[in-house]
Amino acid sequence: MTETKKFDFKAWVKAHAMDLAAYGGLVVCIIIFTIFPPFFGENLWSAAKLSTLMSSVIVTALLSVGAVFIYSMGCMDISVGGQVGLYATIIVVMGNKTGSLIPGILLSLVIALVIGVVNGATGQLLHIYPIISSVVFMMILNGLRSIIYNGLGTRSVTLSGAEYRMFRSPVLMLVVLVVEFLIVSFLFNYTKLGKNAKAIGANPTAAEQSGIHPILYRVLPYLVFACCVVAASVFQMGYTGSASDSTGTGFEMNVMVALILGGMPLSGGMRSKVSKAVVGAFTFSLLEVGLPLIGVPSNMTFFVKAVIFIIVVLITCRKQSGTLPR
Amino acid sequence: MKKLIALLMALVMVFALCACGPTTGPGPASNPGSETTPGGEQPGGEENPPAPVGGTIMWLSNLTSGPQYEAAMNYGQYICEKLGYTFQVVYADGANDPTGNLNAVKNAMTKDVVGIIATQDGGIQNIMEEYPDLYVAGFNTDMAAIYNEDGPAHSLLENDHWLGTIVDGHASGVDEAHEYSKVVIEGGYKKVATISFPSFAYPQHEVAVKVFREDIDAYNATAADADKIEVVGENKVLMFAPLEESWFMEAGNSDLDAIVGICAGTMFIYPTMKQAMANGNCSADTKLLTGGWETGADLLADIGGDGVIQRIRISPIENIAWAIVQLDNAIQGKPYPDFEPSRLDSVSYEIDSAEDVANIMDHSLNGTLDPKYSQISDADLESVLTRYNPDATLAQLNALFQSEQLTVDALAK
Amino acid sequence: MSGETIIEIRHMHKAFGPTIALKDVDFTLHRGEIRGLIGENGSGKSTIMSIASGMQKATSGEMTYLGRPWHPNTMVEAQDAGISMILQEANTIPGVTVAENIFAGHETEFSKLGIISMGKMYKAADQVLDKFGIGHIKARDSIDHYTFEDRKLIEIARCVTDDTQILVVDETTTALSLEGREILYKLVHKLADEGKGVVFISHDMDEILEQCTDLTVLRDGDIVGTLTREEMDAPDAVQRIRYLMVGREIGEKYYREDYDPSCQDEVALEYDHVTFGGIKDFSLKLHKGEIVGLGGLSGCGMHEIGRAAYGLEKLESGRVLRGGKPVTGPLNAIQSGIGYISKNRDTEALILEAAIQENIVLPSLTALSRHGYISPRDEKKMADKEIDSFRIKCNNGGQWVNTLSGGNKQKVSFGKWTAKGSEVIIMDCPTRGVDIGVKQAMYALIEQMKKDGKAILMVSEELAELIGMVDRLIIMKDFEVTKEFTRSPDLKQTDIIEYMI
Repeated sequence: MTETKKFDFKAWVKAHAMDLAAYGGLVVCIIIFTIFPPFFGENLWSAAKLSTLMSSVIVTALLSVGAVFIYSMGCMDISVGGQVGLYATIIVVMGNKTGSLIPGILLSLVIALVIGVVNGATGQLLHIYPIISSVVFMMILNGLRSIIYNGLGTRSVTLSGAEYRMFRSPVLMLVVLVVEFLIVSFLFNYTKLGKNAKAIGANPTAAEQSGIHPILYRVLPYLVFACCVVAASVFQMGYTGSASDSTGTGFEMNVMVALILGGMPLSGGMRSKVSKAVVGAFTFSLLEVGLPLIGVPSNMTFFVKAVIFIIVVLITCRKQSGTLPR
Repeated sequence: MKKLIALLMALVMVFALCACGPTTGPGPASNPGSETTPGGEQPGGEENPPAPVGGTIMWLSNLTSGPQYEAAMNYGQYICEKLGYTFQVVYADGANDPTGNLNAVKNAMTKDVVGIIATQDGGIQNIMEEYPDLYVAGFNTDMAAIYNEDGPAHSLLENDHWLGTIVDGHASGVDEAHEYSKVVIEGGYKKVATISFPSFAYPQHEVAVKVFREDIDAYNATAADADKIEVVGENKVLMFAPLEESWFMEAGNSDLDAIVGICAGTMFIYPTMKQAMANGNCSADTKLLTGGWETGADLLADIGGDGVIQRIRISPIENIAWAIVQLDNAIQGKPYPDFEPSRLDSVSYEIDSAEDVANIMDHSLNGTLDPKYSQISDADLESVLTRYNPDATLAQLNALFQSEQLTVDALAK
Repeated sequence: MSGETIIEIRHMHKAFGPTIALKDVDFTLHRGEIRGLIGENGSGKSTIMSIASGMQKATSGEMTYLGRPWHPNTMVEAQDAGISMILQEANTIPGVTVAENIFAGHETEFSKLGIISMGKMYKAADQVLDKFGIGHIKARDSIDHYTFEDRKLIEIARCVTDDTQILVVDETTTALSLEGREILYKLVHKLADEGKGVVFISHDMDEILEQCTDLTVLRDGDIVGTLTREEMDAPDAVQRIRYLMVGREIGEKYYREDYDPSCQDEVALEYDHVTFGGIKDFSLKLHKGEIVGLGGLSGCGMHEIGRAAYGLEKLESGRVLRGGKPVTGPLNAIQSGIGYISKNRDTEALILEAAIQENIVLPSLTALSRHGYISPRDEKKMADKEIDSFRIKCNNGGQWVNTLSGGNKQKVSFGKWTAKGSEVIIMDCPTRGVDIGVKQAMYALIEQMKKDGKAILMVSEELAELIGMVDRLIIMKDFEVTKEFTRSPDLKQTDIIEYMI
């Protein structure tokens, strides 16, 4: 209990290298895309560009914020993309049939919760990595989707029976994102749910010996995530009022990239933070929206993004050494 | 030392990643002269050219690489530069997903974009709703979303910013089928099978296959027994993946006279066919009649004569000029007197002999990728651009792009 | 050649952030010496040699090895130069053969044109194993077939070669049985006789006094005393060393001083004809205010009995009852007031990659949450109370557990259950890897727990502490209870050992 009053800047930087790199990446992106676009006659802070940014970030951000719960346990969910695709389709099809979005959303939520329960519980019950059951779901969902679209005889469905334009409002997007962020942060930081998830990620044996129910507290995070996936699906669908057989493709990777950019440890544990998801998602989307503004052509953005990704990863994923005297 | 190696490996990863990304065609970046200053071009100042309005024309491309992509990039850039525009490519969603297409356009959108050339129809209504001031023309797409009665974007026909589209081939499966049945009958093939893309990739495929069979039946009704043509088995639908070799082991498929591939058969059928021939599963005499343009040396050598490929049908890349002309007229505020948002079939660029191949590779835009070999000359273009020729009509434009001038046979001259 | 300096360390200073591990330490090792290094956890005794053997770097200071300046970058570099260190933790590669472990990094010696001759390697490995007197280990076997102890011996065989000039043994003997220790002692003396240097880091004072030629005592990163063999043979040597280590008179009181085995009548935990694994029909009643000890050799089944009380073993028949209700799993055990301190501190008892506070409050989260909300202030209050009462040496509750020394880690795992207010505490090897100062504090704490009416089941491999602490001592051998002793001043280790072996 020796309180050190002296502030050791170097040690602080070392201890927070991961956070600094992640937040720093976002700040640098913001600065660059604020300073340079005016030379090209563009402006990141214009209403149009901000709304583009918001619509580009919203789905990834909603998913990533929920995924923090999964990743903090050291798990991954590969079925995200398939789920978003299916839910968007369900909401559109049911919306056209019933004239309201609610039934589709509720049905999606039910499916999402069931998938969440299975994803969360099978790992522990069958002694397999939880990612495996999500891989199974990915295949099932992709199959289901291709059956649906083959049955419809089209590659995309468009919503005509219900109003969806409100989901294109950047203000609503921001509000929903903030609300989701606050709820998930609360659950993650101030309830057993999050604390247990982190403990499971850091050391499952110790967590169990400390009285954490090994199945219940693996399932609950998946249920939180399920709600976030449905929220994301609504915005995904609402963006164009349509869904197609490729909706959601690759979203699981977007989530992973956003979390890595945000400095989230893939092995989970106590370093997990909800804010990392938001930081990562915004960095990712800022690059997408900002690079064309400073004259980087489309075929170069992949390159620039790869470089930035690797820089962040090099900084954040380095092993932290922390041996003390013995 | 370790750090150095780590750094090197990171660099390798970066470059590997790039290599996996879209290929670096001659991108807009490599085009130093493209920063346009309105009215500042044409040093010769020949007969007072009207002051044009500049800006960027965005091409929402379904391709990211390959000879057709590069030819279109080069030619699009060439014309746009002439007209005082910047040409910029944006990669559309690989699966024509509405959201993906809209996002691609939105992310790349800059203030000076004045028009869009769309090669995919997914989300076209969302894009036009998002940017109501931009003119949009189609290229290499049938724009089923707009032209089908029940298409999600059908109402765009009423939108005066929609300028029409030029199709890759025939918009109607009926016309497509007539072309193939004609080739089969004239080629004297007696035993054929059909392969096509699925509905979602080629909505007209069922019609095309049905009409093809009807044509053959009609022919058989009058033909002598010895000349009758047999269409073997059901139509094979390729789920956007190469044909499996096992198809040749199905009854009747091993000794066909010809395979009618109503799809990009050079990519999806030809390689499997060659393999099946090598393995003895497919007769060496089976020929392929299909579409799709590839420039592999082996494939090119196998076209015409005794080669496996007896016919490839593609569309001339010059077609992109049709869309640019439409955009320029609209942007300059000088529409055709007879303007309507029309859908134009492309002429068929039929390749069926080694001579054709040689001509294409040496003297065409498709083969050389060089705009100077365009079969539409600058003068041709000026004649249909209202900024140069106020009397030009849509009928003239369409006639130009359907003329013999654009065919492979024209190259021989 | 004996007496010549092998390594000399001058003004070595090592800091981890604000924590200072070594303060300006001078240390010299001569040929033929077996130098004991002793000190409490966190005194820096391991740090000195881990710097000399390339595991980490000093903040400042200089080293001279064999007359030349010495700056090893890695442990491999140091080992190639002749400084080998055997660590406390397991350091073998799982999933491959013993031979591959022994020659890890030296495979090229057996390769021709890039193809490794496994036959040659096995032969060479068997020779090495024989040389160290551990011929019962076979080079061809997968290392996973061997116990922790055997793996430790394999590690020794790997570390020590003909070129070894200095061997550092870092608290290795805790993991070894009597037999294994003998092998190690023999090796150490042989090396010393050959004119090489040995540094022996240990908690076990008896062992140090028996085996070492010289002894250096550290406290808080400082060398506080050096004893020669003569001084170590003095009758008050033990008191003197303890005094040096702790820095204060720790007095005679170490274990419990009373010999009153009485306890309350109420049964706190009952094993009711429990059968599982090798255990057959085990019954035991643990009362409130009672300390029951379980002793025996490591594989005798006593650890499993401890685990069973916490619901970690699947019972074939019988029940473990707490307040009349069966214990079915850790969650249910905790709810009924049972706490369990695993002997595998780093892998089971604690989350190393988490803060002290997070570890302490983990079992108490349900109690802390009010309508689902857990206040960070309550968490801090609970953790700080334990940090204070156990005197856990740390900057604050936010410090990560993996930065703590072994003894302080153990305090954290105790703190989890005192914070939870558990009524029954099962402790498996509670003082393993903990040194005297901390041990003394823990014994006092356990005694206090007894006085508070808690029931304690103490599983231990150390007979001395069992004799010193428990009311009833159950000795096991081959999964069976062989004898039960009641607390008495006359109980001697020698009386007990015959029931263990």
